Amino acid sequence: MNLLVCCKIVPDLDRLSLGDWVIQDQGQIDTAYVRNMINPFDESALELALRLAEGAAPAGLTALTIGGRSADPFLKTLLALGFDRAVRLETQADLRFCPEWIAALIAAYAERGGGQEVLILGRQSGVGDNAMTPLLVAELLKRPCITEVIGLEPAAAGMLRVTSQVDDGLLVQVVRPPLVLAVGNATGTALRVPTLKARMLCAKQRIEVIDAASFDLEAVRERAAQDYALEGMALISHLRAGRIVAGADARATARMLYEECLEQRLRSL
Amino acid sequence: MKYIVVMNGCAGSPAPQAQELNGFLRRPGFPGTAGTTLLFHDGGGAALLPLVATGAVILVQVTRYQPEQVLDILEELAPQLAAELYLFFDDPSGRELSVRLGHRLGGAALTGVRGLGLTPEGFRCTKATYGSHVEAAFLLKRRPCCLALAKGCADPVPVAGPGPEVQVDLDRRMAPPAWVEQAETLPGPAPAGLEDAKFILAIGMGAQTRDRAARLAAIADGLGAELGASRPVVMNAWAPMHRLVGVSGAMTRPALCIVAGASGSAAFMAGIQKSRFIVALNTDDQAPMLKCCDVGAVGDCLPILEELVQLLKHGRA
Repeated sequence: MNLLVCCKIVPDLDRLSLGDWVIQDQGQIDTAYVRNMINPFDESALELALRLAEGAAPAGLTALTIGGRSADPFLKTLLALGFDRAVRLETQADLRFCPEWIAALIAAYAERGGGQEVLILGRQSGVGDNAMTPLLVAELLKRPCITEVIGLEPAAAGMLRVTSQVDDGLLVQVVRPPLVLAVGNATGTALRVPTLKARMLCAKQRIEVIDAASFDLEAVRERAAQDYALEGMALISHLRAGRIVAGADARATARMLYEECLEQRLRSL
Repeated sequence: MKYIVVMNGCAGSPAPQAQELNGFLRRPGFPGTAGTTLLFHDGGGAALLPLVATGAVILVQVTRYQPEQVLDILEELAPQLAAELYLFFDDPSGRELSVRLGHRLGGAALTGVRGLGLTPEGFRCTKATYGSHVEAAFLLKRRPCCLALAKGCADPVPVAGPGPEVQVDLDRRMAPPAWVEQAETLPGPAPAGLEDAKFILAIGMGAQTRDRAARLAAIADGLGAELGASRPVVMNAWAPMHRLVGVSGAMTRPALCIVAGASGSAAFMAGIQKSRFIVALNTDDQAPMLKCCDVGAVGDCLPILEELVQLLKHGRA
């Protein structure tokens, strides 16, 4: 089975302190000084693919991202973890709110010669929070899609056993590729860490960089920007009084909390 | 302006979402005037009619909820419905259908929508972005506009009135698609009831270990609180998924919420922001959570909470 796993490198927004959230001109927020990471839903997608590959002897395992060079260290890690190919579609474009263009690029890459039967993506990423890309990829490729995937296993005759969260529980399906899978809240799927030996062995393995413009999809991006015009942004504040209570020790602090603000509230519940 | 509400009735009773949607429809400035609900069900459609917030309903019986088949039905019905706006719930089926239908109809789609207005240029929608730190406003020019509403987008309003007029009752039961060899639905755990809980103890990675998380769960019992958990806690399997609080879990509104060891990520905060009173416990005096609470204390949450259990049990004496 030939797998394509798409991942996005995003800033770790939890590292921004409250004062760092400043909306600049044209709706930009400077996140350049916080560390980057693999989008958590994509991290689950990558780990699930690696586990699937261990059990199914895949014909190919490709990781794909879209963006600039800052993604390359992450792609190197994926090569060390066992991905056969790491591909980056090079662009400096603002990727936050254009899922139609991103989906079009992924679909075009898959059609151009990837030959992958199963595409695995995280359900959303935490900057644009669009939650649209895997669904649009499925539509563009005219493939069935399973969303909120939390488990993947090989099944007989080239099929997959896919577990997904649905509105009333869990759905376990044995399905026949080609497919697009959108990974949701899959517990226990933190991406494994490569050994130093594995890193050294793949040190010379090349990241494939393809100019995103070569797919000739700029018109899709321009049209999406017009049809989904970003009109404004405003910070969401969760600030409250934040009064700090401090006793001499934990017991005294608990007593102060109880007497000053919890006793009456707990009794009236 | 004609609008359609799409409801997945195959998954038990979607009462909380239906009430929230009803609240959304009744907000000042909602642009729709003539609403019809497309209610997909697997045989129990009549029982769900009291949840329908629009004046008219089209019942569509299917064998089971299968998104590819439901999408085909929606696409087929679209020309005769001639609606400019489709509204979906914020659940797995609603998020999927909104985006894929928007694409198929050549319209627009957006998920997590919190606000909606109509301008001469198009639909103006607001939604949370940047992990719920920033609200962004978008002008969507294509029609129809297919929107999945965010959880908590409106205060719930019980559906009242004479009930909807059933316009059509369709039978679209069919065999599963050829690519599905086998399908089995396993019931999920009983709902934790976090949306309706009056008192929640919400734990974060400050729990530190699985054992300590288990102790915090016992403390929640001792306090008479429902246990909630941040996303990292459930992703580590220290608490079950149905205890998840935040954007991808429960959007709660308790009278009292004690937050133990959660740093206060915006996605988590979105799930507790409607709490009447928030107490935060954190070892890090710089944790954002301590600025987003009514009262906070710096220190290990476990001994403080264990003492609180004793105080609750025995009083001040």
